[in-house]
Amino acid sequence: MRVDKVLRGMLMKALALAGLNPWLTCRECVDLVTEFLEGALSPRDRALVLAHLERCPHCPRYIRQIELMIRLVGATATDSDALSPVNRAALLDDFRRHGPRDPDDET
Amino acid sequence: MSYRLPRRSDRYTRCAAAAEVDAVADGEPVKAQDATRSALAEVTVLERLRGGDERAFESLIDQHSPAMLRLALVYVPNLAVAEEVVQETWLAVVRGVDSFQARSSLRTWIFRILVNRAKSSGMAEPRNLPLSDEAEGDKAERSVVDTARFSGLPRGYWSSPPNHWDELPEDRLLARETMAFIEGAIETLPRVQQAVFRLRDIEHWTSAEVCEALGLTVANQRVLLHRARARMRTAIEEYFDAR
Ligand SMILES: [Zn+2]
Repeated sequence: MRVDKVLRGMLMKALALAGLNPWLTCRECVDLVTEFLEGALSPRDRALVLAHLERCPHCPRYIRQIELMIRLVGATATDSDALSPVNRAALLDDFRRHGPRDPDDET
Repeated sequence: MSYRLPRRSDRYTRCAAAAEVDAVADGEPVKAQDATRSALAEVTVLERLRGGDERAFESLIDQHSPAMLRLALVYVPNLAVAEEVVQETWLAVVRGVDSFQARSSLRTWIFRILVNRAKSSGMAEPRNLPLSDEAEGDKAERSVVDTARFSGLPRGYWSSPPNHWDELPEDRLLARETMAFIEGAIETLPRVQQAVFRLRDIEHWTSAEVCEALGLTVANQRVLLHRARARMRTAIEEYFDAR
């Protein structure tokens, strides 16, 4: 972890202890995660979440884990009857057309 | 058989907040393109269906039935009933396709029929769970992570932060045992949460489609998704913690 981030995190906590924290708490940040990922936050709230994520050593991990969980859950759908032959063929076709290097290409 | 993570992996291994923003921002045009493409495809399918094209119907069934079965199972007690519900739904689709107005998309229309039928079949079953979670979309109690995990000083900051399960090697994350656990954990989600979660995070529907198919408001849908995702993250964390 970068040193400046650690320092900013310590400053955030110190200000919070003094009752002066202008940023979100972790709990508030966690409560806004879905709206953040959906792009549904107001510009102000979005800025607040980003400011917290820049300072917090844990909340970025929380968001990464939410996203990883979603990908793991998506992986369960490859099991037997969960993916129909039609969907599978479409995915393979998509893969052939765009190649493995295009990370934006997902349906 | 082996499991593979859906792509998009590289994007989400970056940890900086800036990377998250990019990911959210540049994900949008792709989705919009897909939406246009599938809307066009749908018009064609609809025309072919209306013209009595059997192949169009066949491919529509192949495409949607697995997801329909899984969603029906959220509301009914067993696979046999779920299959019945899916069957009835397709019959209703064939009968109704001429009067279908393209106000909603074809698939949200199909799934709305499915959900309505599954709900009434589910209620007819004696051993069914009460519909106690129907009101869970209210915003009253929003915090989804155990309050005790923020109980240190200063208040509201992680005192028991997320453990590092996301750093486990992929073969561990994708082990058959893990996948079985995750499937089981999804099934224990409250009903409406589970329906939203499956459509959003397994079928990758947009929130607008899910609202339409399940008859939820945008805010309600988001709260349900938020709770389901938080529960699933916690479940996975506890699963790896116990090992
Ligand atoms: Zn935090």
